[in-house]
Amino acid sequence: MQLLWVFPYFLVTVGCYALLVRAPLGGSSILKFLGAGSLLGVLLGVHLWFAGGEWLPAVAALAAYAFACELYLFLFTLAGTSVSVRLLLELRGGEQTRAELEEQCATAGMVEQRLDRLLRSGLLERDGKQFRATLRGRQVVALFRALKRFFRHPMVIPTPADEPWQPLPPLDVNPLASPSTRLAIDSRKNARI
Amino acid sequence: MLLIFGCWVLLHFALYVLVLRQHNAFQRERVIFLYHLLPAIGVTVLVGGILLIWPTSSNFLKAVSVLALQGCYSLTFLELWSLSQIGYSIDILMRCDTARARNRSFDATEFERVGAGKKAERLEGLLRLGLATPGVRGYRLSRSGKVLAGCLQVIRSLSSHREAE
Repeated sequence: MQLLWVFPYFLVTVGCYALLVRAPLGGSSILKFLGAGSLLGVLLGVHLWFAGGEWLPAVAALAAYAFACELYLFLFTLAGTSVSVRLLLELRGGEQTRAELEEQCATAGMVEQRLDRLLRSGLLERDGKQFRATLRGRQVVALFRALKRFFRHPMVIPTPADEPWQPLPPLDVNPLASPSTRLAIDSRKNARI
Repeated sequence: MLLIFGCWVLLHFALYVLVLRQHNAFQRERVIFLYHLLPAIGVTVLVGGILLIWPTSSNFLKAVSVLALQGCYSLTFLELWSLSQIGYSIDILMRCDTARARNRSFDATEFERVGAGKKAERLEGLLRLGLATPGVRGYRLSRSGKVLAGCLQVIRSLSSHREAE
């Protein structure tokens, strides 16, 4: 049955990814997995096309493969970065007090780990003792700012453009101005809010 | 079945984009999670019911397609929603970008404070979920916590040996 081909292709994807992530190559682990997953996904599609030619089993197999890859991507990013997962893995070594957990999962270490990962992914670069986002990093930032706007999340981190509101120079408002003129003036004032 | 499912996903997404994302309730993780979980359960029950009544191989393949595509849609949506709201690494990257634009140095201490808060909150979360329990002198994993931790360790080892060290 064509659906069963999902399992070996998925296992090969995970194996290829495990090799890629250990190879001395730059780039983020997510991109490596997407690369391996996409390539094997295309191969699966071609294989199924030549195996049977029916569209429904191929669609079902590709959908199941895509879901398996997506789930694995979610799980390994969670396993690599989640604070909760780190706590779980520390507790796996045995009972620990809160102070011991604090020491093992030092927050300075958490920030350093994140900075290190961002440096390795090419999203951050060092500038002496400081860090700055690379061009790719700025593109990622722009993408996530767009996502924040889409999902209506509060922009708690101000953008470079979000300077404090500066009052506009006073306008000569004629109280006898027409409603359309007053509306245009109000629009101009509100545009900076 | 696939066409109806496609229309359903478009409707679910359009409802969120046009109406629901304007509401404060949909800024909470729990609500957005339920917005995806409940329809996913509904789709699973419906598809399971169709299979029980008309158990053909064609319906089985359609059911697999529908469930897999529902999973892809919900996982993608929830990951992007979650990352854009509370991504720690993304926050650090954004802060570095803002600091650079303002000719200031990146201050890591604020993130250390945020990290300390996250740890305390997550430990309480593990206790609430029953993955960890209070022990004699501290905290330990429950049975389900040990199973989950074991699976996550395997995934972590496969995906990144550097972080697994």
